[in-house]
Amino acid sequence: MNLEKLTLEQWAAADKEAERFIRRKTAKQYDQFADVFYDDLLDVIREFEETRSQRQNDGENRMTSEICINLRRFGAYDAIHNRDASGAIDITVTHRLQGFKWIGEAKIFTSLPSLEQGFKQLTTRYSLAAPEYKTGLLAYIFRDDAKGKMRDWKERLGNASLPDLAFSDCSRRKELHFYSTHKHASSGCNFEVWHIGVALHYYPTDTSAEQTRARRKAKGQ
Amino acid sequence: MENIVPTTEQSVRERIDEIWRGDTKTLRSCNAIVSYLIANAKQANYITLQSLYSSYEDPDAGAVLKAAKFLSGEEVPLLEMKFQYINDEDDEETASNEEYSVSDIERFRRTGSFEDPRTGEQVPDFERNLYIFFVPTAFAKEVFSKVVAR
Repeated sequence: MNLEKLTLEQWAAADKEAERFIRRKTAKQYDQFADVFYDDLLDVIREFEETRSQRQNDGENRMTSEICINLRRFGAYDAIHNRDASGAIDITVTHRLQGFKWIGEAKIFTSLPSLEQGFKQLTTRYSLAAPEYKTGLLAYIFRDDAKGKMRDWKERLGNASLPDLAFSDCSRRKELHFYSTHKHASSGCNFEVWHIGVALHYYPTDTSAEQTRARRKAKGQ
Repeated sequence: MENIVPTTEQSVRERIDEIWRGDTKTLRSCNAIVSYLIANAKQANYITLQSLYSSYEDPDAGAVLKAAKFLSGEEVPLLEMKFQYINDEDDEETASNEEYSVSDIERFRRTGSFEDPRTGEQVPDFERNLYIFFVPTAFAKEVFSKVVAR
């Protein structure tokens, strides 16, 4: 990369974030903000998954705080962990230029009922219920078969008797994410949730890993 | 509570540290850019990535770009990214005085249309001829106006 004379073409070719930088700066409609924000959030999630071996002892708060910091690194968002509003919203994101907002609830996946509690908090306790307002439910999945867990969650949600419930695929990552909409009890408007499975299971089975586990077991660790 | 924009050199550096402490290379680059701006913000009107890269020891090109983009954002808004059209990079005479913003670039890309500001002719591969540079924001000039360069 010639830093002295860097062209737009060279920048766009060398930097996967170049296009998103422009989109963040020029988002004028909520959907434009949501579109680039979802790409950015997915970028952060992929980085989490790539470093999952170091995250096996991380708690919910630590991971969510780190997600907020990583979102702030894009420079365009204020991302706050545990903002107080009728309780504690896990993630509140504000697009600094236009003021667009997004909120997210994050849960370590321990069971479907626990994730359902997160969904209820998001949709009935924290949400502003405005029609232009999108939200997300992050499931940190340390267990195996994250895809199966998200499929089971979708099935449970489908049986939850939510009014006007509809699902749609996530084009970014169909296997682990999906969207739901339902009629919000307070506003009566369509309420969209991006359901985001974060695949953090880490259990290498090569010889070296097995030997390490056996040594730890022998030491009582 | 929301993270308001920092307004002093110390709070700028603290905010940078809060956000980048887990990424040493970018943290160093951000701090080097702050020092560069303290020394040059008043008079600088065309800052290339190379000049930021050359402003400290043992730099990393990727980290400099990452830092410059972050500081061109709204959390610590010290830089503004701009573009200049140069028809032939070996011939300074072909450089236009026009400056283009990121919003202009979005429009050129969306419409697929860019005119040579000197001739009015359409430039088909305009992205090859638009060069990135930075200018200090009014905010940066204000924040650093009372700081003595070290």
